[in-house]
Amino acid sequence: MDTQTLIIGLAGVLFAAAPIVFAVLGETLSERAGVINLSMNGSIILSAMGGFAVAYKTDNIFLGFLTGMAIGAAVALIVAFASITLKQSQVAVGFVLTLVSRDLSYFLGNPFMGQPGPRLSSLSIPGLADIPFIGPLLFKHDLMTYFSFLFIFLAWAWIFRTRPGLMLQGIGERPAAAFVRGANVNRLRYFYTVLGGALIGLAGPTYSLSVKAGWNGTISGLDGIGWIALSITIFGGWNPLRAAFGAYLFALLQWLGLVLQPSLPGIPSQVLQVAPFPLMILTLLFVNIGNAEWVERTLAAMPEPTRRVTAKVLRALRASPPAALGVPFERD
Amino acid sequence: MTESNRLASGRARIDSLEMRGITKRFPGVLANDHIDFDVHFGEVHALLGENGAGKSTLMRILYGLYHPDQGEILLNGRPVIISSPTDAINLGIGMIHQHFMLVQSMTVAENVALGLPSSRGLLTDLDRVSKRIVELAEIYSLKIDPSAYIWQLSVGQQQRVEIIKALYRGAALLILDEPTAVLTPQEVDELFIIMRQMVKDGHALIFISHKLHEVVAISNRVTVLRDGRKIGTRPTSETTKQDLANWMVGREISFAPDRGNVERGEIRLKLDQVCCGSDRGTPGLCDVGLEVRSGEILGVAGVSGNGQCELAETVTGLRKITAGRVVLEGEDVTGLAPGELTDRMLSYIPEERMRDGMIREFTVAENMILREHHKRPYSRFGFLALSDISTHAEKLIAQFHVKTPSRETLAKNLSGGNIQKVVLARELSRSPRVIIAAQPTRGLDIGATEYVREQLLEQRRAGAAILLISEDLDEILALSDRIAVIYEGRVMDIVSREAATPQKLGLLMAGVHPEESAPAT
Repeated sequence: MDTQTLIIGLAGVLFAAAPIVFAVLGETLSERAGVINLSMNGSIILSAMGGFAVAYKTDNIFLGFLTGMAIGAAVALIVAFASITLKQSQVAVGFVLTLVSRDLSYFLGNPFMGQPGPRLSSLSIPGLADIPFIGPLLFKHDLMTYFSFLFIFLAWAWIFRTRPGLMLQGIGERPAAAFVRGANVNRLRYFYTVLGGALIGLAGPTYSLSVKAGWNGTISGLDGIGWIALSITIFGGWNPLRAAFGAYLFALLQWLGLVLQPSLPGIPSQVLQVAPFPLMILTLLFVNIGNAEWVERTLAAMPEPTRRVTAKVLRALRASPPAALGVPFERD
Repeated sequence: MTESNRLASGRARIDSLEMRGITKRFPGVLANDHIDFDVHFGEVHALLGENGAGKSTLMRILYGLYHPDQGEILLNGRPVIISSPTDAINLGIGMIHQHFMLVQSMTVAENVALGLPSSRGLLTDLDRVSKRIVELAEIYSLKIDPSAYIWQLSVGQQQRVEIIKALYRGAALLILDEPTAVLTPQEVDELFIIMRQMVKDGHALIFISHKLHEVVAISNRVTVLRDGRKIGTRPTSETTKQDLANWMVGREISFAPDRGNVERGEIRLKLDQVCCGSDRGTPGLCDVGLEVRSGEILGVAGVSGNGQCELAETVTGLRKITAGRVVLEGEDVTGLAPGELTDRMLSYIPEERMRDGMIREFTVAENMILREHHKRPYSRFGFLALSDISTHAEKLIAQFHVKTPSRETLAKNLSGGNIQKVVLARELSRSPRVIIAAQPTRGLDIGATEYVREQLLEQRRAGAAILLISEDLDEILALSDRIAVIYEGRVMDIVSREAATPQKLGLLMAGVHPEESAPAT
């Protein structure tokens, strides 16, 4: 394959990964605060349908994206209320919401099936787009893809470089410590869960109005994206940069599947389509390999200098969830 | 002696703080009953009392976590209202919590910076924070690395981070809530050095504890609380341990229970060259041999982390033995499951009572039938016999004086001392022939400690063979007939109570072999 095709292909990967990036960033923020939003899969589908429906009806793409965010935020609000105020199991609530949202979207979306709708147009950045290699790779995208780049950086800087970000880490790891330092833990958890939900709600319309334009109901190919985004969040170690890397990795695997198809005629197309999913699971397992007992024993048996280096590498790979994830906070 | 009113950290010192007539009610209990308490700069004022006496409540009112129903607080003579920890901190009051409020995955600097305004507005300024931490550490002779992660630090070091946190925010008065509960003796000494330095500098320290020897060692004045009321305040130099203990409990407390003479019988428990592994980083057991007879308490003394946990675990069937035998009343029981040892009338009072001794979510009654729950009369044809269980529970609650609202109360809602009483009730009421007691009085206050020791002596009188593992040397000396010292997984020596002195035991505990120490002429 020549360079030109390769670069266009990679640019396509960045483009296709943008919605997953939004979803992953949203979930990372929510989980950093300590709340698991398991409704992601259904949320993405529902916001995709809703965003498309509004954009189609009003012929205003901007409104479509806003609607998507609003839907994502609303679903997240339900999760937040059930988890924070009612102190119910976040997993149970999220799971129910994901099923309900998905089925609701198929039901309500019927009138919009197969309709041609507005589509986000490409927005080359003049000047920068002409740089060889990097230009077409990074600067010939649409608005949403640019936003995805921006948000990755914003999310990372927020969590790791700002004061409120430090507090965010605190409420997810040890809410009691943050509380004693003056944080209104539950109010902050509401805020981050809803904010995360809005980001997740941005992923849906990014599909239905850009990447996979249109609404096609059950064959829209969106079912399952939320679950993979969840595993990418975990793979990302609740760090926006690493999570984005996981999103791009997944999109790359999907693209590779398409690219390799003609050269592997013997393998049915479904295999290569599905392959990225188990590959991501394997990556997830590998990343946490440091936790396995046999690894710990082998590590203990190594000579000291090797052991220290290996331990450092394993620790860097390992992804530990915020300690208070899923645990409701009560001031005693 | 500092002349000015400024502390070394630059903040103004608090000359005096007074709490007058503080009253606080919770549903069903009067936690503080018109308590007067005051502290001034340059002193350590100890607040002494049993668990549940009201010490923590009083200090939480001072720190703004609770609001008093009645009473007032005066700072330097001026009345102040403290309605939140932020108010307290602004007034210069800092609190070192018993359970550290630290985020394990963040660094020292990040923990100190959490919640504080930054010099760079929205962005964090960890470099500046780190620099200031190093300054403060210098002034108060603390050793702390601002870039270390909390999970890398020892308990004593984590506590120092808590202290730095308070000092960083300009605390002139520090409340230390049971600070020594989680420290090793060495770390306690280090803490006292830091405290003395702070006092010399002009800070006021309030030291909450129920450990008499520490209060006597470090405080200038001591106030005793009991059942929510103040019993009295005295200069520490004018009191004795016996006085303080009696005030705390309200009656005469005996420090040296009467062991009496008991006939020693046959060998009930024998360990023969037992070896085992360890997964805590401490050495496992190596060639451990000991015997316990009926009517005898064999105390196992040693510094924490020398194989005590492994010893308890091997004898109770919780850990695999890699070599040697455990013999129970003549029968080789090596490798048997804990349930089978239970059937052979072995009882175990575990070191971690919350984790290993009872089930937190079960009621008191359910916890009390745990070892025998599958047998009659508690269980018939696979069904629990609830009325028999209730009767049994009521009997034990009365017999062992367990303070609980009802037998249906969840175990996790009981205080530490009462949880231990539930464990004792279950383990001792079945008339065991062999008892393994590991750190049985750890974390318990004076009254509960006295009770547990009485119970063990009672069992000894009844003919049980007791293996007592304890890091409290006073306890070993008070209760044991013979004493074994464990060091790095080996038994250094076994001496009779008469021949044992703290000095001799100290040497053995430090790993000095009996032949090496110079014979006392």
